[in-house]
Parts: sequence; structure tokens; C-alpha cells
Amino acid sequence: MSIMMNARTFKLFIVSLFMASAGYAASPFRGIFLSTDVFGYIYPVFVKDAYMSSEVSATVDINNRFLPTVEVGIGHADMVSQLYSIGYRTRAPYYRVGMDYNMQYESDNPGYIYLGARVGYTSFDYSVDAPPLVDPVWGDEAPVQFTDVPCRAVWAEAVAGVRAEVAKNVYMGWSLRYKYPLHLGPISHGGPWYIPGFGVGRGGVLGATYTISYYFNFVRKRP
Amino acid sequence: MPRFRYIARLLCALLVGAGLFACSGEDCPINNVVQGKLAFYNQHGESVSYADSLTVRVVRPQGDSVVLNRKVYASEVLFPLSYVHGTDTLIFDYSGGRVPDSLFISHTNRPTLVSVDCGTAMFHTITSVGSTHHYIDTLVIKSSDVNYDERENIQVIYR
Repeated sequence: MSIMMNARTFKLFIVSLFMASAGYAASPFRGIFLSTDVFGYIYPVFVKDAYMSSEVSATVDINNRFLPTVEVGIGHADMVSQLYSIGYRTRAPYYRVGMDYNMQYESDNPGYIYLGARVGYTSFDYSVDAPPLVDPVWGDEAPVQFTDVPCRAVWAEAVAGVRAEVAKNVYMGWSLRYKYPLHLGPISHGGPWYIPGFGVGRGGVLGATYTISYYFNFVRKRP
Repeated sequence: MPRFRYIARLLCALLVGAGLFACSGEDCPINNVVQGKLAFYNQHGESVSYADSLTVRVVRPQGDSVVLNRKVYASEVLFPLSYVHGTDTLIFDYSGGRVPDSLFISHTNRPTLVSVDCGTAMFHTITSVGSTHHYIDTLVIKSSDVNYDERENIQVIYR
């Protein structure tokens, strides 16, 4: 029974999408935003020893109100810290799914403020190459080199942002994100420093995105 | 014009927040010395201090290193652990010509990345302890992790 219901729901979804693309106003699906986050490229220009991420996302517009979103990106760090000469390397994909809520869904303004939530996941390896530790009492040197240490992370994000139409179907927007780790492990050698998609830190951290989007409008405007 | 102003206001709204984000930094631990801690107890589990002077030495190939020098009323001792050796020896020199006690602490060493901005550190895990029994009765491992926390790692129970 549940399989039949799921198949029926899926059929309704496909029919609704088709209706939307054909311009039927009755469909709740109004369009899709395809976006890329340029903040990940800008951040390392201003902050030394920074990490970088490249990210794209797809957001479905349901009644100009609910905005389910899938985000996929690659987080990348290959740096040596100035202060301690510690090398840190990682490169891995990350994924987020969630939904935004348009706080101004009844407004005709060419932009809106939204609140949302995400769940993020990444599985990655990281390597650390640091100067040896010198024992202050015995005088021995101990190497500090870890190669391809595996780790996985799951986190939650609270999102607040704005998105505004700057040209026909072209949008720009900012979002601020509070990220909180739900799972990190296995922890060895102190754990990772930078986590792709999450950032730096073990507790709650702040993040930001600056996105440029193209809106594929499913709803034809009547003359 | 109202449309342009609306868009500009929207895009500027979170720039302020982004500015705050850019100013956030990483906090490093205030205490960055890794030491183990042992504390003295009597047979009833009560904390005690050694009324006469006590000296504690760490045995090294190049000569002993004093970690507690003629301390009176010592009730606890902070001690270092070797970065590369698996077992360290502490010698307790009691005053008044008493026979010294020796403590043997076996441990594993964990090179640890605190963060690239805060550096690295050597943490340890105590695996077993033993001693001579001139004045010491038993040793109990209370916390095997030796890191920045300075928790009580070993209880030294005197006769």
C-alpha cells in the first residue's frame, strides 16, 4: 500500500512539474534557482592561510514560499600556517539538503528575505605536516606527521539570507549561517582543523555565502 | 528607483553581518602546558599532605630532573611525561633520610594538532602504574588522559 502511495505521489510530482513547465498557474512549482557561491573564492583573497570552497546549489520554488534546496560543493585547504609552520591539506566534496522559507512570499518586491535550515555531510581525509615536537625535559624530538587521516562530519545549519533580482532572472544574494556539529569522527591526533563545507572549529561556527543565481521560471506571465 | 533602492538595501543588510563574521577569531587554550597530576591520599580515601619536605625527581639518561624541590605540606605533584619513551620513573625523596619510593608510569604518546593557529602538543594516555612500597601502599589511575586539563590522573595511597 505504501509503495503504491509513494508511486502515486511521485506521479503527482511529475505531473505538477509538467504542468508548471507548461505554464499552468495551478501548479505550486514556479521555478528553479541554479546558484553558485562566490564567497568561497573571495574569502582567501582577504584572509591569509585561508581555505577555499566551490559550491553549486539547486533550489525549487514552491508557491514563492517554500524553497527546498540541495547544495553540493568541494572544500579545499592546502596551506602552511605562518605562526607555527603547520601544513594542513584536505580536499573533499560535501553535501547539504534543507529548505528555506520566504518571509515575504506575498510581496511583489524583486527580492526577499528568507530563513532556513540545512543538514550537511562530508567524508574526507586530511594530512598534517608540522615541525617535530621537542621534549622540554628529556630533549627528544617527536615527529608530527599524519597522512590521509579519515574522518566524517554531520552538521546542522540555521540560515538567514536575502536574494534580490538584479537583472531579468539573475539574482544575487547573501546568507549567514550558524553551523553546529552533530557528529565528528573518528577523532585521532586531535581531530581535523578545517572540515569541508563546515569550516574551522569544533563548536558552533558562523559561515556566509554570497550567491549568484539564475532563475528558470516555469510560470508564464499572462499578457 | 524604489526597486533599485530596495535591492541595494537587501544586499547591504547582511554585509553588516558578514563584517562581524570576518572579525571572529579562534581562541587558543590558555593553559598550554601538558602535565600529569598525582595526589596523595590515606587509607580512608582522604586527601593528605606530606608534613616534611618532599623532593620528586624524574629519571633521565642525562641526569635526573627535579619537578618538586623540598616542598613542605605537598598534597599533589605535577609531573611531565616523556615524548618518546613508553615508561617513565619518578623518585620520591622523603626528608629525614627515609628510603625513597619509585613510581613507574607506562604511557602511550599522542602527537596532537590543537589547531594550525594554536600549534601542536604531545598528549599522553597512561596505561599502567606501579611503585615500590616503602611508604606507598597502592596507586590508582583516576584519569588516563594527560592533556591541557590538569585533571587528577593518579591517586597515591599511603600506608
